Amino acid sequence: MGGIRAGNLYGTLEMLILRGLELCGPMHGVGVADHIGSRSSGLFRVEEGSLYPALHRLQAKGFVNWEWRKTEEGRRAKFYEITRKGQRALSSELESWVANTRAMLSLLEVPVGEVK
Amino acid sequence: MKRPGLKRLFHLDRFGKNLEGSLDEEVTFHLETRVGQLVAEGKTPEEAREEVLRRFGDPELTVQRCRKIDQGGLRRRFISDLFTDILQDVSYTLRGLRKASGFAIVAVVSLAVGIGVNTALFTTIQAVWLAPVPGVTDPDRIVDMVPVIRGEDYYWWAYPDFADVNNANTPFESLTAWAERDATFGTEEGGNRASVAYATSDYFDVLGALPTVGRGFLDSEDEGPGQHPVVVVSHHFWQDQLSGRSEILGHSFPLDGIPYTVIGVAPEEFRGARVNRNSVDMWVPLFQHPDASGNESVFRDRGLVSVQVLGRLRPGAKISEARAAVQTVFASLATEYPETNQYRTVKAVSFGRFPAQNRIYDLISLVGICGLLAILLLIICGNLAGMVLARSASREREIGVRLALGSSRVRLVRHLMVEAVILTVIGGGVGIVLAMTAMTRVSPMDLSISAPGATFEPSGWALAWSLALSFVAAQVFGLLPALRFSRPELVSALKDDTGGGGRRVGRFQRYAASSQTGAAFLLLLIAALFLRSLELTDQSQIGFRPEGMAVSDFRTGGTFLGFLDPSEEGYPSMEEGGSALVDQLIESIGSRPGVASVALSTGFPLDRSRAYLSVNPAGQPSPDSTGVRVEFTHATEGYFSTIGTPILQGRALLRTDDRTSARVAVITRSLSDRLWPGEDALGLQFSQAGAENRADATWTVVGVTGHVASSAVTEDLPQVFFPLRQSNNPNLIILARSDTDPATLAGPVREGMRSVDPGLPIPRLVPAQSLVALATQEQRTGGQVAGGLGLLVLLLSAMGVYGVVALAVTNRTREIGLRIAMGATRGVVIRGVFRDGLRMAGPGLVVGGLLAVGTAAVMRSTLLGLSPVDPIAFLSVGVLLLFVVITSSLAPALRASGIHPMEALRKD
Repeated sequence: MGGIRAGNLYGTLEMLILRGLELCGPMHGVGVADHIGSRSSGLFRVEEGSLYPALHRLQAKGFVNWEWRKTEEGRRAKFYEITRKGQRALSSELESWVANTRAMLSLLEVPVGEVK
Repeated sequence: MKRPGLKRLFHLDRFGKNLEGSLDEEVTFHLETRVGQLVAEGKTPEEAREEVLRRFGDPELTVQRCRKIDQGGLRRRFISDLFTDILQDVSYTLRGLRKASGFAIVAVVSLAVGIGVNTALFTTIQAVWLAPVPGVTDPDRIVDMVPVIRGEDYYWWAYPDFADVNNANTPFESLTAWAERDATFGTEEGGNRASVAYATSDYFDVLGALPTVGRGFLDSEDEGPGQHPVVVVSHHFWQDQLSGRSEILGHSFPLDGIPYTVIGVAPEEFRGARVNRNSVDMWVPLFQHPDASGNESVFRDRGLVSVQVLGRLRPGAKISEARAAVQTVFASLATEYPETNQYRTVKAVSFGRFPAQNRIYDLISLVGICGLLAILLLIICGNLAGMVLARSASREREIGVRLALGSSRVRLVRHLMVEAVILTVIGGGVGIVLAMTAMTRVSPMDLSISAPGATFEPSGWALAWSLALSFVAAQVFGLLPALRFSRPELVSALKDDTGGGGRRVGRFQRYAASSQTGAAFLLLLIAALFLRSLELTDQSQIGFRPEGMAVSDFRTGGTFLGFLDPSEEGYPSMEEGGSALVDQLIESIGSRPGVASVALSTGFPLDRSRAYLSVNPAGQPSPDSTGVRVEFTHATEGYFSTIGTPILQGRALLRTDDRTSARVAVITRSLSDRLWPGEDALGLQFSQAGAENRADATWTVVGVTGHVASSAVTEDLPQVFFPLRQSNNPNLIILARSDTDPATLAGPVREGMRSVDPGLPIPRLVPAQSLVALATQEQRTGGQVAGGLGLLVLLLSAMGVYGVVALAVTNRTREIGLRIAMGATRGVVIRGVFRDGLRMAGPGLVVGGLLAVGTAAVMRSTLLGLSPVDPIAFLSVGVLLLFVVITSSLAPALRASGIHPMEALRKD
């Protein structure tokens, strides 16, 4: 079971999705897209279509589960939910991501405080 | 939302047919939601759709990519599903086995036994076969040069022949000649025997066992008899007899009365060139050999053969080149010295790890046992296969139904295999662990295997062998029934409740049970033959009375008896009138209270000394006649009364038969019958074959005895007894008989010897009965092994027969019920079942019997000449086997006869 591929766009996207699901609970694809869009204040301009392969990949890895549910409007939609395994993967991935970032920043001689 | 993990794995709905739909639906939902949002913001549907698609990318591509990812997951799922299925099979099987604990126990125990004994045996063979001669380096380059005289292997070389080969141009890097004998190494209060190898200077180079302390022999020590009293001691001799003293070099101790100086210590593991029970204690230059003391002629006499020869090949040289080179030398020697060398040649045998050493005999018997054990394991597997089949038979319809409903054959086979694998893993594991643990507790010596230095360490090879066996076992008893039962015989399985004859028990099971019975017959027959042959060695057959009798052993430990050599104790040799010591000993020991009779001799029946001679009637030289091979013993007066053999005709050997009187002999009746059939042998003369006209090789028969056992229990040669006082043989043993317990003889013998000369070594007294037991050890071990295995196999075959017959009865319940309903009596039904059992066992018994006859014919010498078709053995084992077959069929037969017609027909 691979981790989230950090360091490229996919990996970052998967991390963003997992983090979103962790913070907001079960969401459908549109919800996930909105969440990422709002949090990144447009920084991440992703083709929304690429969200779905990422979601399916996460699901294949067992990081998310899904279920068909009714939306508030009464439509059938596929809701994703982060699994325990997904949570574990996310937290370890975040840790190493932060560590990497700090290391990079110190290499680039940018004071860590400024980024935080 | 969350489902329990295991259960989730089985829910394939998510990947099923609605997969496509769900993907489409998911993407569609996304697109429609976004369009809805944009329309709500005031865009036209067309604009909105365009905008959404631009932001989304190609929906078709997205769906495809997602599908690919999902399918990848599916494949992974499939593997984990398979794993889970197997886990399921395992737990299902374990539950099933817990219910059928009888079957499980039988299977595990019999597999443990089967695989365990095979592991143990493999370890043994490995130890014997692969164990190098300890301390010898690079044995592949060492060649054993075995002289061949008139086509017969002969171990001994004449020293001059060796010297010529050594000087010739051969592919040998170095060559050595050596001889071994016992010597007395002295402390103040008396002698101790030591095994000494007398060797030429290259001995340690040839064997690659250069002394670790000090040096080996120098070339200059290869000449000058008696001038180089130097000795290389073995490591164990240094430690045990010289108390491991640190300043060992230069230390000196007397050997045969001459002070020897230690010049080296051999490597710790090195025990000599031959794998014997007795390792060499020390090495001394060949020219120090007592035979050479004061006369160098023994090293020039080509008629005297006394040394063994080994050579080390140059790197890259071939053994065939060595053979050719040495044979060339021998050919020229044959023309140069025809009177001695005419019929001599030599063959080169690889010293290697195998087979030049006498381990080959151990190996042959081990491989024989190995074959038997492989049969045993095969039987066990066959039996288990039968049991699995029997168990599956009751599920035949279930399996038929499952196949009909589309259950895959692979799945069914897997299910049945899992059971076999579980049982084999447990049984094999127990067997391997037990065998390996047990084998570390015994040493080759305990099993009378001559492989010093070899140990039964559990090895990777043994483990691999056992695992391979286990694997094969699992295949045999798991896969065979599995394949057979998964074969889609649906129709017959489903139809077979019509009350017809029922399916007969499968051919496979019948063969398995039959061959088990045959194997049991084979093994038990061999065991019985061994027992019978032992019976033949009871007193009436050995021709003497061992009880109450004791034999001296002048060597501490060892398989063979140690001798007393008067010349080594400072007495003149027999040729020089050494019989004075003999007279004194007989008189002194014989007069002690408690000693019924005493005699000195050079041998004793069953002592395994093997002194042979070929004889012909005197004065009838027949050049082509090789003569009658006899075994000879030199003995004093009192010999026959001491060993308890009656003289049938004429007289025994007397004190007056000495060098001054005529050359006489007592012979066994078998020799008299061979030399002079139908004649009275008394007074007739016989000669050594080839010397029919020489007076010093011609003897007059003065007495005839009945049968006396040969020195080896496997032979039955005519015997000749010469007067000891007319011989030159220096190797004496003391025989004494007591009216009571032979143990009481030790005191009188010791006192008798002390009063003659306090310096004489005092022997250990061995009860003759224990020597007889030792001589028949091989037969007893063989009988025990075959008997033990035979009983095991008998038990297994009883189980097999029972299983098959019981299954047959179960399968034919309906038919039998019908027959009973039609008026068949109980007797008819029981007879029918018995007939079934016997018909099944019959072919196995015949084949087993034939194999037994063949085996017995091959082992004839080990079986002491017993006829391979010994009626008593055959009859008793045959009756036993029939009894077992009938007993095993009894319970099913009784059950069959008790079948109630109505219930039987209602069944199913």
